[in-house]
Amino acid sequence: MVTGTGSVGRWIVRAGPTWSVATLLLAFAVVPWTDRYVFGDSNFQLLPARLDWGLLFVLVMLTLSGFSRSLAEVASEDSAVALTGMRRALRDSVSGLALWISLLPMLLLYQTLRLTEIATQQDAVLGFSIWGFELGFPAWGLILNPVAALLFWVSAMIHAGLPPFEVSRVEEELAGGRVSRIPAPGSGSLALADTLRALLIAVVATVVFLGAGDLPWVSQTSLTVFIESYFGSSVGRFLSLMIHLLSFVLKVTLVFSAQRAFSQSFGRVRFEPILSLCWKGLVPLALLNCVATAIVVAWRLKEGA
Amino acid sequence: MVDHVGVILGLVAVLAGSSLVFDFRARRRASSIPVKSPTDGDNDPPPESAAGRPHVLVGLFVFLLLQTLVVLLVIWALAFQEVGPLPALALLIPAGFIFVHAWRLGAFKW
Repeated sequence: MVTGTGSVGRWIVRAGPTWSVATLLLAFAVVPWTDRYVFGDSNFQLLPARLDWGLLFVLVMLTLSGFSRSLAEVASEDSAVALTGMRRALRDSVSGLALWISLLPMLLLYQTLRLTEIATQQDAVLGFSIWGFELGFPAWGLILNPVAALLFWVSAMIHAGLPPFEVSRVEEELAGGRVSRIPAPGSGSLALADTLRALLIAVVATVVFLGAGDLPWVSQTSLTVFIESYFGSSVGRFLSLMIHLLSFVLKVTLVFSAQRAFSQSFGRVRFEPILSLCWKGLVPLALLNCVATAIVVAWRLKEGA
Repeated sequence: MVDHVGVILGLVAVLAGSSLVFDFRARRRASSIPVKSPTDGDNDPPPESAAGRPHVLVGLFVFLLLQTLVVLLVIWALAFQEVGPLPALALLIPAGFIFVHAWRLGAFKW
């Protein structure tokens, strides 16, 4: 086992929390907070870095952040912290697998890893008629594949180690004994990383399953045209941009709050049931969902051809 | 993508084959370890070793197999309109059998 007796170990213990935060901050750079708007001769989009494989980048950074923390814990001289680190690494590995498989159906539907494009594709209405009534739903990922949304949410919460799936200090709490404080260097950075991780999951869930800043039943173009008719071109576009940004932030807040409510509603879970849940529940269900989605998409493509 | 299906299938076969061979060898090794009876002197169960618990390593192999598959499935999902569902089913069906086999072996029991 790697222990932090050497200088390398001590360096890893010190640098781990910083890496954990830095990787998460990098992941936020590819989040499309707004869609593209034209002001005069220039385009504007609140998107710090445009990547063709944005979703891949975000998930890899999320995983790297978790492993940075695990590595720092494993390299610790405290055996209890090292054990927690090993458990965290194992949990992150298996839940990461479930996370990736749960997102495959959405890749089948969107056919892209670009977060901007994923958000744009959801800016539509799925129309159908029942008994002569014309109905429509927003073409959000949550509506298109609710099973994938649920599996993603649970896997992501486990992957991020949000309560009740946190592995540190679980044994003491479950035993009903004193909640011992495991000393860990950089605990402030680790607490910040935990919050950023939860926020990043909320952001990814919003982009992939809730249409980013899109308003339900109202497309960005029609809203912009409507506002422009009252306030003129530039002001209208600016107001439309602000409305979509506000909508995005509101959705992220809702998902983040739902995570917190879920965390508070359930008691702490031991390490073993978490792994069993991943192997026996999330991974097979996600694989089945992927196969089912592939069959449906292939059938729709054949019908459309 | 279609040209690479053979390579992908070969990779899956190697991973799956090594998993099954390892499982077989570990079982043989485990069966050759003499089990102490409670009348031998102490009532403690015999110490467990990796050879006596092949399911842990089979679980590791299944994890590596699925992790490799996920990378390939991401590429497949992005090229789904060109290649259709068959390449993934060719990957997922053997992986499914291995997954069920590992499950029955107790590889996912924690």
